[in-house]
Amino acid sequence: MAHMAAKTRLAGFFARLQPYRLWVQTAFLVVWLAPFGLRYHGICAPVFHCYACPLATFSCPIGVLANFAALHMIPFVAIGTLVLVGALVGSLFCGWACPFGWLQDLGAKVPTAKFELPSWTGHFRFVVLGLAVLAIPYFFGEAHPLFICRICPAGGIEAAIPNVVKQAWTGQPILWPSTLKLTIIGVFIGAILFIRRPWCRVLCPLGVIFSAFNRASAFLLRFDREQCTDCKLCGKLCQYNIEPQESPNDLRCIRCLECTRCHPGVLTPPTNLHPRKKAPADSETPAAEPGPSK
Amino acid sequence: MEKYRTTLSLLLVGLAVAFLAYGLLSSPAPAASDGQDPNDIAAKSELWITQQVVRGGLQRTETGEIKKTYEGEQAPEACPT
Repeated sequence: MAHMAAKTRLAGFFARLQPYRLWVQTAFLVVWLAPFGLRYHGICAPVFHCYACPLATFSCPIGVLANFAALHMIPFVAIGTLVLVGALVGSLFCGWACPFGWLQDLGAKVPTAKFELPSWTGHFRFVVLGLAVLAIPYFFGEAHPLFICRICPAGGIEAAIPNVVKQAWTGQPILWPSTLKLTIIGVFIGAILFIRRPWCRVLCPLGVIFSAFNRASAFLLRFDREQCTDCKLCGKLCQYNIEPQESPNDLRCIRCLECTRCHPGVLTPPTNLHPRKKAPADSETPAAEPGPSK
Repeated sequence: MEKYRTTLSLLLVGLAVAFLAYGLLSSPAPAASDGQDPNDIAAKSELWITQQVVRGGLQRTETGEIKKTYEGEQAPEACPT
């Protein structure tokens, strides 16, 4: 009974917070971009950003993984941080705390025509993780032009541009980013105006790590078949082309929890500590469990 | 399914804690700058190495050694990208 009450409290908490998600993301900027000069670059934040940003409080886990691969070392602390966050909340940080996701969500607010991407493009995230973050740094070192930090748009937007502005402001000689970097910045800015979260959905290596935990994390999305009226509203609420009633803990889900705004009680964000209420055996359907990704 | 999932979550949390503890308590590799006696080189913590790599302060040489890219206390300010 106490578990059920706690489950209701948690679902209610997220339901109340849901309309203010962009503000929650904005508030998290104070943590990731410390305006008071706090620098803990020995520690990874569980979000995608660039530690070369003049304001970055923590280091980027992807940059750390890639640089350690170039040194032929294993970053136990970074891996431990990623596994811990993934095991507890899956990709919840992507939807609610990531500064690069926030930037893309802001871009999506611009009233332009939005294009959908085929779901198979999400597999490129595995390619980026395997090649640009692990294999290329390991075999060719950090000087390779496809080393993740050299092609990362977060580095361009959060570090290169602010550093150029800083150099211009202080009268120092300006070190312009490479043509490749400038092109990536331009393509990225163009893409976020016409595609919702293009980096997260197609290329983000951190997102693919966290979303791999979605089906095993303590925090989960639970679908209640009994409450569902089959109106497909949850699918319409999802901006990433996922059908939550089929696959509530999908590999492509960033856990923005928009789909929980469907009819009350159909999709709820409890944790493993909140057991599913007992139901007659014939009312339990396979769709209530995490389904296969598309 | 729920029980299996709970067990898996707990196992993953345990694994993560083990990784964190090992990374924080162990000294993974020595780092030397040019001209330093390797015998004088103290093993450095992973947090120190992380702090260095994000500044471009460490590099692996062709012989496989990990070396600091600068002398003294002042780390390079340049972005490694």
